[in-house]
This record gives sequence, C-alpha cells and structure tokens, in this order.
Amino acid sequence: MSRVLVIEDDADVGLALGVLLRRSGYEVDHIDDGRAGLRAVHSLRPDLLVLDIGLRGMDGWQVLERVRDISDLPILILS
Amino acid sequence: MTTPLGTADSPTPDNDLVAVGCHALRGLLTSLIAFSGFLADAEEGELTGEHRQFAEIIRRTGGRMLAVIEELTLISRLESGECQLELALASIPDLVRTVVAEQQPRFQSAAVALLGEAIDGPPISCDRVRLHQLLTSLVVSRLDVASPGGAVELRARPAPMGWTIEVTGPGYPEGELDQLLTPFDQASTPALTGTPATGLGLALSRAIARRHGGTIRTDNTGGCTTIVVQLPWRRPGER
Repeated sequence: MSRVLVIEDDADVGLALGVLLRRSGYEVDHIDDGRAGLRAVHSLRPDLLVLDIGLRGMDGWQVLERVRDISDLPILILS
Repeated sequence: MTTPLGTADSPTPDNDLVAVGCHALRGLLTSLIAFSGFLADAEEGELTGEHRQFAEIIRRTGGRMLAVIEELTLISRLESGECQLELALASIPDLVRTVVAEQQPRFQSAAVALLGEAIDGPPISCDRVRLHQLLTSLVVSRLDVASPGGAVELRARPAPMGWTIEVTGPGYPEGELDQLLTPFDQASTPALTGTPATGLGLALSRAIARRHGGTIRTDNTGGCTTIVVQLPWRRPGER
C-alpha cells in the first residue's frame, strides 16, 4: 500500500484529506507542523507528500526546499 | 442607449485584504464541502434519506460559495496586476464554439436557447484560459435575467482594430446598466430560470477584457441588452 504524508496545520482539512485518501486505499500520516513534518519525511519515507504552504514554525516553501535537496519525492502543494 | 462599462478610475477593493480573506474562506469552505460530502455519500441505513439530502444541500451551497470566492480572488488578482497573462495565438471562433457547446446542458435545463455565431478571422494574441472564462461569464450571467423560453446569442467577428464579441439576450432594467460591473450587484429581476449565477460574472469579464487592453460596454435597445467586448489584436506595449 502506498504511503502518503500530509503536512497541514488545519486539523479539519488534515482530517478530511486523511479520510479521502484512506478511502482511496492509501496509508496516511498527518503532521500539523513544518519542522516535525520534515523529520517525518526522513523517518516515514512516504511515496507522496501533500504539503500546505502556510505552516507554523517552518513554512511549506522551506519544507519544500529541504525535501528537494535530498529527494525527488512527488509533492502536492496545497495553496 | 450605449453605456461604457467601467473607467480607469473605478474604485477597486483593497486587493491584499480581499486576497487574504478569500484564502482563509477557501480553506474553511474546503472543509465544509468535504465533510458534508462524506455525509451525503453515506450508505443507506447510516443516515436517513432526508439527512443525506440536507448534507447534499450543504455541499452544493458550499460549492457555490467556493465559486464566488474563486471569482472574487481572480478579479482581485487581475485588477492588481498580480495575475500574469499567458499569451499565445488563439482562435476566437473556436472559443465561441467551445463555450456554446459546454454551456448547452445548463441552458437546456433552464429552458433558455443558447446560440453561437462566429465569422472566421485571424487568431488573436491572448490568454486562452482567461478568454474562455470571459466568454463563459458573459453567457452564464445572462441566466440571471433570462426567462424560460428566452434566448441568448453569442457572436464574434473580426474588425480592423481587433475582435468584437457580443452577447445579446433579455434586457437588464435601464437604470441598472451602469451598476452591472459592480461585484454582487445582480439584476433586480430574480433569476427566473432557477439557476442564479454568482453575481460576479460581468465584473470578472470586465477585469479580463481590461487586462487584455480591451473595452466592454452595453447597448440596450428594443428590450434586449447587448454586451460588447472589443479586444485589440495586441495589448498596449506588446510587440
């Protein structure tokens, strides 16, 4: 089963994405903070990252830059 | 009577404020549409049919609110210059045929005839996606004043200075012509077709036309209103 990591600080949007993705057959992890999300990219090794831009701590653009430095992980931006 | 629509010094909203507000509302509406959708799609027995119907109404209403937000955001970005055009040569007759074909089901369900006519002519330098939105908005906004059995006609023809695009249909009340371009200033006539537009269509059309260096005006004669868009072959300053 493919694994999707959702980094989204709005709990409702994160929950809705989780429900939709799980119903579509994906394993989903939801993180609500940019810095913790970046650590989860390293530890969980997802197949897809769904990334919000307006995040606390480290924003989505910074997370994007860091992830792109180390991998070609497909990323969907929520803008 | 011919009325020019909108001038260079027309008041514009505080675009930054609109953009921030729209972004926040879009996020909230996305949640509302998603969760009402989960309820509307529930299995038989999980909710009653009436409950699912209520959830479907919430989802549909949320979708309409989201459409308003998207159009308001786009108008704001066009007027502030933040929205860059992706220019390429496009065929206006092709766009007319496409929009008429796409909107036929919507007009048929409102029992309003939609006709299209375009004279062949040279392609024009424009943002095809935005012009598609312009033509769609011009046509769909007429559903606000159309009655079942009525007709709306979209015509286009090349002219020495560029393309002229006209939409003719049921007339707006004379005194309302100069307000047509104000966001949310819908016609006083209630939507007789049961399919109200967002109320932003004409304001969006004006914003797109102006961004292309064009003009938009109305012509009210014989109980019909014609909205005329003139697009230059090239935008001012474009080579």
